[in-house]
This record gives sequence, structure tokens and C-alpha cells, in this order.
Amino acid sequence: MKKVIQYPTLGDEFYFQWHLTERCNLKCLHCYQGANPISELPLKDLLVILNKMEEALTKWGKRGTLSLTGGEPFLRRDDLHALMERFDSSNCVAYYDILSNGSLITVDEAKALSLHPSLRRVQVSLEGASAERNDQIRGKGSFEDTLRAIRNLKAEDVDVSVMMTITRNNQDQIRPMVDLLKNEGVRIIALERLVPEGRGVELSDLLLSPDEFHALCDDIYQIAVNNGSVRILMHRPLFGLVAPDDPTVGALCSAGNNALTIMPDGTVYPCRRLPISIGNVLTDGFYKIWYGSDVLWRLRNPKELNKKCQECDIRLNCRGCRAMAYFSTGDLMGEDPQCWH
Amino acid sequence: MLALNPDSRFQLEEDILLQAIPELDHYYAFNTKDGDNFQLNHTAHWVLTAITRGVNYSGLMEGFLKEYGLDKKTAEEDVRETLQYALNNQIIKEVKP
Repeated sequence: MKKVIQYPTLGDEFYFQWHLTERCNLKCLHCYQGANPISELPLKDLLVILNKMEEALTKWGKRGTLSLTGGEPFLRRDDLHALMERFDSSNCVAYYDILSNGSLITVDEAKALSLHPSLRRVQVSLEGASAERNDQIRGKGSFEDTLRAIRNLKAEDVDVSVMMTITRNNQDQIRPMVDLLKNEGVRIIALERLVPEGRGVELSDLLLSPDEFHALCDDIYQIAVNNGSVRILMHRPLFGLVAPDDPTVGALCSAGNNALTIMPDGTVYPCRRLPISIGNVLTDGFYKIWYGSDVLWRLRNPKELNKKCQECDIRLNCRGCRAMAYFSTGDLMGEDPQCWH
Repeated sequence: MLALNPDSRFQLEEDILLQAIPELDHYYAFNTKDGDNFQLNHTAHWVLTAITRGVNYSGLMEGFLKEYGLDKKTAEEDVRETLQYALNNQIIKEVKP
């Protein structure tokens, strides 16, 4: 049933992060969700959006890659599977991932997921390598629930990755986490920085300083090149400072370049961590948003960068995390407060 | 062959957006309705931007010569070529008197 995924080359790829719901059965302390609920579109409107995606991808000559997520996307299980089925038959979409907290991925759910040929992997989240450390952030029982999801998915040969949001409180957990994932047969871990937004504002004191983040990135890189089986995804702004000559490390943020985030009501953001509305896909369409948004044009233009980023010698290849700048300084084009360069 | 006279006027087609990142030497025209997108060079973008200001062909040429310091023949060829390309691709339309 699994089809061989034809991976797009970097220049051919356009990425959509699609949030089907903001509802979630967990209340993680660091979550980027705010307090205001967002309405959900019915399946028929989601399919309209999907058609618009395919039309745009065809026009742009791009291959689509997607993350289907929430909230917790399995709270809209039937709609999620309906979309997946439609994407499975799409000629425009190379693959999609599901980003989930894992709590609803039962044995039966894992079996159902294994039947979707274009599903590349399911990403679940852990914040620590033990129940004690993880559940402080994600809630009691979530560690065991997530491990169960990983095992259910592995049993059905569905690829799994783990996402971890780095704060001062769990920076010591990266090596233990890699060891845990090795034991669980998970091959990929993605690391993201905490952005002080949504509920995460309350954790602002846990943001790493530039020096702390520098030291941590050095450690992460050493773990990445020496650990063997677990691949640490380091295609993120600032990681590139650690090993400028290593092409697997660091990347220009995709916001404004080759990615869009779609919210449950059709609102479009440059990135989920940068919740500035740049239109609604149902009323505006992708073309008007992608070609016309002033926010996107600012993000694309390195001349718009302010402060330290403006003078930086690697601004064409880095520009930091705009969400970090926005929420830490109030300036979308300000400097990334964790940059040590 | 495009017929031009000093009073010829053009305007952007509805749904066309011009964008630029001069620092990167990136210039574009976009159709926000059907998604067509055109990479332009600096002079083509200059001509299309001038058109949005409502100048006629005579004013367009005068400004173009001043901006780029070309000889008149080369300038006329460049502007004519840009206008023809933009008409062919429904980026602009001629405004009839």
C-alpha cells in the first residue's frame, strides 16, 4: 500500500501547515495557542481549500508538502482521514505529515493511518525523556500516552518523529531524549525554540540567553553528528551558526519564501508561530495573499531587517526567527533575541 | 507590430500587482486572479510602474531616456518590447481615447 514518496527538491517544494482545529485535549504550558477560540470550517470548505492548494501548486510548478495538525487533529478524525484520502490521490502533493500529541493514536488508529500511501510520518511531541520531566509541561499521563502512540505506529510501520520545544528547563533532556528515541526505534527528532506567545508567554523566564543557546547548539550538533541512528533536524535559523560549512545545518526560515500556515477558519499566517493574519484563503485565495501581502514582502526583503540583523554578514541566509523577534521585541523585523552571532 | 503615438496610454490590467525587492534585483508582475507571475528586469518594472502613474507614451519615453541615459533608438526599442510583452501577457491594456 505504501507508495514510494517522490521527495521534492528544495527549490520545488511549497509547504503548507494546516491546522484543522484549535481544540486540544491537552493544555501544554508552552503552547502557542492563545485564549481566543477559532471557529472551524466544515469538511466541504476544507476541500475547497485543498482544491485551491492544488491549483496554486500547479500554477507555481511546485510540489506540495503538508503538515496536518491542530490543536489535536485526531479530534476531527473523520475529516482528517477524508482529507488524507484526497491528498493520497493528488498529483500535486509529494507527501503529508500529521502533527499530533499522540494521545488518540490507538492500535486501530495506527492501522488506519498505515493505509494512507502519502502519509510520510506522524510527529508527536515530548518535552523530556521521563514521565516526570515531560508531564510537567504536557500534563499527567502524557508521556505514557505518547510512548504508546509511538509503539502503536511503529507496529504498523508508520514512520514517527518526535518534536521537542527547548527551554531552560528541559535543555538537559536532549541527550536522554535521543537515547530514549534510539530505544524506541524513532529515527528523527525535531527541536524548536520556545516562542513567548500564547500560553508560552507565561514561560518567558525559561527562554535561553544567546550564550546559553549558543552552548546548547554546540552540544546538539555534537550529539547530532555522533549519536548514530537518531537524526536531529537542524534546518532552523541560528543552528547554521554552529557549523557554517555543513549544509545539513541551518536554514533560511520558510516564512514568506515557500510556506504558508492555514488556520481552522481559513485565516492564513506566514507561520503558525507568527500569527499575523495576511488574509483568508476562502475569500482572498492564495494568489492575492502570496503576491500581495505587505507582511510577506517585508519578510522577503533583507533590507527590512532591523538592528543587529540589518548589519549581519549572513542576513541573506539566516535572518533569524521572525516570530522570536516579534514576540520578544514587538518588531517583526527586529533582531532574534537568542542570536549570538 | 504595436502601433504607438505620443498620446498612446496604457494601464495595468485588473488584478495585476507589481512588486519589487530592489536590494535583491527582484522585480515582478503578478496576476492575483489566475496566479500568473512574471519575473521582470529593472527597466520593464520601471516602465510598468510609470504606466500606473498615467503617463502617455511621450511622457514614458521622456522619463525612460532620463532614467537610463540611453540613445533614443535603443530606448524606443526597449520600451516597445516591454509594452508588447506586457500586452501579450495581459499585464497591461491600451486605454482607448
